[in-house]
Amino acid sequence: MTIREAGNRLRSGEISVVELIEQALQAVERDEDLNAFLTVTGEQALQTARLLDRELRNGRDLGPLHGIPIALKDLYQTQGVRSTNGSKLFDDFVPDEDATVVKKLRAAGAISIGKLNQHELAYGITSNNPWFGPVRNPWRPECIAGGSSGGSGVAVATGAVFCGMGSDTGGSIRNPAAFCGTVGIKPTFGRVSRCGCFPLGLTLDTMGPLTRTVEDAALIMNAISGFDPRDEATVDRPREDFVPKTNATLEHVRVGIPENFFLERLHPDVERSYRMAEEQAERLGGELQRIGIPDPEGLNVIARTTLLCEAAAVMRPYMHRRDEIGGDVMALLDQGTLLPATDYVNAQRVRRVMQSQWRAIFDKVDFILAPSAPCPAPELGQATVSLNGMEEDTRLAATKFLRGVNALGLPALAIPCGSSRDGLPLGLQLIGPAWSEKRLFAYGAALETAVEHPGSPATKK
Amino acid sequence: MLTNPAIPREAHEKAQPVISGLRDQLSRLFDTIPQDYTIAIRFEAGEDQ
Repeated sequence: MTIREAGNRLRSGEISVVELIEQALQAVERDEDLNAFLTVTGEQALQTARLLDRELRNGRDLGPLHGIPIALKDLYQTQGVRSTNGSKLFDDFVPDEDATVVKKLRAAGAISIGKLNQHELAYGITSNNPWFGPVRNPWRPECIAGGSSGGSGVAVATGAVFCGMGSDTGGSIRNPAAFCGTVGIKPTFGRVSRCGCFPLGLTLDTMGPLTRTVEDAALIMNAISGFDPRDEATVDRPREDFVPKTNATLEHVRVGIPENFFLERLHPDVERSYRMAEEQAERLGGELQRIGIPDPEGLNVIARTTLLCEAAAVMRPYMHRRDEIGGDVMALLDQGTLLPATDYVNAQRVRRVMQSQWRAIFDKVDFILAPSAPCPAPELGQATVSLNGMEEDTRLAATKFLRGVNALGLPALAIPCGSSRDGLPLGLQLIGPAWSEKRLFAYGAALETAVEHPGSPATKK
Repeated sequence: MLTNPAIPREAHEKAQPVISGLRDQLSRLFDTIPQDYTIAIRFEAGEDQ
């Protein structure tokens, strides 16, 4: 069921908001072994649901998100509800104000049923959380759900909620979207307010939704986008309606097919899935154009340097509490602390050059079609992945197609595309120029109808 | 070797190879930056008051 379908059923009286929330809470309980939720706010959600049912009966309709169950990654601060950022450091932190995005979603009528598990401090891609336990992949529970928004991916893939809000600093929306078989949008840097969210990479962090369909993601973006004086990165732009028209095609759309990097050392199933998407893009009328990606390894180095330094700067007040930070995250914070400031400064200058090189690419193509991950979800605890005979560090492999987009500030829409032979979902990303989300949603909606969808994970009865 | 007194010795030793590798890659990139104001660090004085 999509958000629009749920909305139609609410307005026809076929279902009530209370029933929608009850179904969501039952799904959470059914799949609790996947450990997607840290806090379930069932009573609050039902109370709000009763109110919203009354409002709808009285003719007060808040719009497409009225009564829709959602959940929030635990890095979103929620008034009166524990918000841990997946960290022991904030285990008992109860904010006195909602994050801006949370306020906007509530005002639009969405109902949060709880807070989602994630990688500790949003600083990793496994969501194998040392304090709250691992988030498990709903398709194969011995595998990771991806991260850092792992709980968001699971909550959406299992059908518990229509939207799991996540964040993307180096791939943390797109990676779990790929590993869990959902849609996800990493917006343009500055599109969505981060006020009230725990920071990690000051010039990299973006907030966005994971959903089951492209249209659902667009509906959420309509609610959450916009300037906020409390996040100085946000830009005051005219309001846009991101929802794609029906019968979208790729007629006359210039589709960038990378000649290098994104299609190297792929798991065979990922390569197969990509080639299928490429064929479908052409069948939909897209004009495929081969493009060279300028120094992608260099871009990844710049992205890593930026994140290492910014995250260490943000976490400086907590660095002495080493026993309360997991080993993998502590190692990254130490690396960032040790990098000289001169390296950060010069990395920012190189970053600007690279942004200019990528603007030139988008003079030639409307979007770049690329895999989100080079492989399906690895197993929990798997330190390396084997790609064309080479062992690669799991974290670096899982982020290598993703983190450069954060360094550039560009938007990218993740959509599911097929499954591996083992039954794990696979995903693609559509990378666009800055502020092109409306077009990306249109392109994504067209492709979504044409590529193979992994379906829904088997769930316990 | 880059050091910081707040970081325990073992953690230093673990971080050094990663940082060395990263800095080797960075030095290649930094050689391409023009040594003038063409690409500086963006900073703005703010709006008229």
